[in-house]
Amino acid sequence: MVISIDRLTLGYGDHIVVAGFSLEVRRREVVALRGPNGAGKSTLLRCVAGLHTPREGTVTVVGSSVDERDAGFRRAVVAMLDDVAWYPSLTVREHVDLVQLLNRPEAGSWWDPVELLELLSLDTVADDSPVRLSSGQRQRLTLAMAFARPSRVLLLDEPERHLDAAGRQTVIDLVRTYLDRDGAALIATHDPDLAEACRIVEVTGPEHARESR
Amino acid sequence: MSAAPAPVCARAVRRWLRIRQVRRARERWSADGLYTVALAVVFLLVTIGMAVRGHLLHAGETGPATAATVLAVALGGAAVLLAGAALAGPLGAAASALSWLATSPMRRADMLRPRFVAVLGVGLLGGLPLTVVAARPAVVVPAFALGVATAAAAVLVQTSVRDPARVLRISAAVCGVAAVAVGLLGIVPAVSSPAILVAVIAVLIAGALTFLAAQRLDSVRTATLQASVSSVLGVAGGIAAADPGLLSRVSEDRRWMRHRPRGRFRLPAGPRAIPAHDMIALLRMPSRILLIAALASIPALIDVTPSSRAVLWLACGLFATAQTTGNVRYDVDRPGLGRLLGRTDRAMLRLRAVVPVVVAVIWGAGSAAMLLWQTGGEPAWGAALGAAAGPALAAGALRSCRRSFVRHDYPLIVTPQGVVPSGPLLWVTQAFDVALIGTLPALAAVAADSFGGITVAIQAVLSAVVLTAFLTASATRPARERLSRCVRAAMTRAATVIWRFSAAE
Repeated sequence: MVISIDRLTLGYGDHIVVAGFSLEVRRREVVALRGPNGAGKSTLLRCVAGLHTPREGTVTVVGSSVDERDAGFRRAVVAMLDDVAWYPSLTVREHVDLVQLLNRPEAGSWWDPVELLELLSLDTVADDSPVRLSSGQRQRLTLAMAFARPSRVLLLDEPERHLDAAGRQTVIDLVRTYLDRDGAALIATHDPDLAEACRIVEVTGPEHARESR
Repeated sequence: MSAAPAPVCARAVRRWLRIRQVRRARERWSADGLYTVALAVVFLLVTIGMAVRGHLLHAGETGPATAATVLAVALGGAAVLLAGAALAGPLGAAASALSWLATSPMRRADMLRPRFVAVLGVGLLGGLPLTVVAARPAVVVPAFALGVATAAAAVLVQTSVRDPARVLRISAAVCGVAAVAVGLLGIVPAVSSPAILVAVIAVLIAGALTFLAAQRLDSVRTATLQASVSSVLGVAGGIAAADPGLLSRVSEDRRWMRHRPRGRFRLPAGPRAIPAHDMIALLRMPSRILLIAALASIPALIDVTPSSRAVLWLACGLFATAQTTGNVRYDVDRPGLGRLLGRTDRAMLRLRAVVPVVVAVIWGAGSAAMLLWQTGGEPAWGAALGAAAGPALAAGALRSCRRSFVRHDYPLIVTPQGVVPSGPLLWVTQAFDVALIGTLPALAAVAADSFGGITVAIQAVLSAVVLTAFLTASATRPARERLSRCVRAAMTRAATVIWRFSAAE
């Protein structure tokens, strides 16, 4: 199993968000966490990314317990959560270059930066600073950075946010290609098309979580 | 299709708004609040009045300022007014008013006229320092006219060009550079005209500019009004929160918003890409390189006691090195970047430390060499000591930009000398503590004016230890929080000890 969640309980203060949640994600598999606002999807993702300590239960990612301070964990897991992630001093192209040059994927084994920019329709703004982009273009840039380096696990929190229909379809295509490259993905989403392309797990709050398909 | 609606009378709208604002103010303001504000205003006026009186008495004893000083102050005053205008508009309106008044069928000139008058008033006040410095009656009228003319010119720029902030900033920079040049070189064009003629010409120019600006109030763009509102709100937020960190974040964001990334750079592969990114950020903002260079000369140029010079050197070094740590602040504020880049906080901090250390070493060598050259010492020793102190300065600058916001909820420390707010104190301490500890040998050498090989060796070892300890200790959030808790506890303990000693005496 690439991701293994066992009887997980999460909360903030005295408020329990998720109780007794279990899930397993295999290699080349993508799971969509679906549920109403406040059900705990984002908290679950933050927990798998090592940013939220569970009250009870365990989470293992790529065979090890979660530790976001561990260099190996950081290399293996790409987490695109709901925070802003860009430098105003770099152009769009340089962001994607920076991610790829830091992680140096083998030639031909991963997306080329130019190819990623074209896929996400960022080639026309490649030499602009993210400061000048629209919110949809910034989301595309964050996606480009998330897919720019090789990883084993992809955690995406509502990747469809701010995107138009073509952009949402691109996300589905990118996730499919990612799976073909031996990755596994856990996605919190409200997009029915994206969820359709995944194994759906309903997150319905502290009572229970059930698998729909 | 119906005819366009007739312009609404602005006076009626303003009256309607004023009635409601006064009513709301009456509900919100207590007698205590009004008393405090009135007392503060009186206190401010008395303080300024005493300072002006003192200066004029001093001028009466030593004679009036030279023409070069007067011209330098005039240019400097204009630079300050233009820089303020670039930041605040100069014309603007409250965000709520702007959202509907600016798009209503009301004459824009009517809406902006009170603010225009206020801007001219600020310009008039801007002439005050010049009259005080000049301390001669012939300068009074031209000085106030210059202030009004500068304010009117700023409004004229705002109503005439597409990017007024840029034009005003450039004008302010030109005036500032001219002021420094005139002040240092003492070159003044010879003016042999009678004082009355100069005053008349100055008033005529100010009047003409004011008239032209008033005529063009209708043509100000909504976008420029909105830009001024957002910048004023950002600055006001920072001041209201008493948080310089918030101000520097706002200023950094705005600075990048104004600049399109210049030049195409090829990042190297591997970890070197991160220091290369820091270099790119520095090269894309050449004004920072100039600022770093200018700061290197300040400790040598300002004539103060040796111990004050040491503190000044430390403060300038921290400020200069902090010009290279903007990306560290982004890494802290936006932890998602580290997750996308695939590097831990610790690894990122180590890589981000490279450029600040290099810059601090160069800055330390240059500034300390200049300092010794100025005081008649051996510049080579100064350069060696300054370079050795560089890594510790870099550690201090890195620490300062990783500080969180000022915590106003931290307890007050009561001492016999008064109440000290521990949150702001801690915030300030976090900039200086590491750098102060790490550069103690260099500071002691500057203060005692005694330099030598042993001091350089001790400084080099201490710098390396402090930088390594900082990078190891503060790389992760829990470690940072632990460090903050320790510093806070130490400060509280120290304050208690001081208090007990004072009470015992």
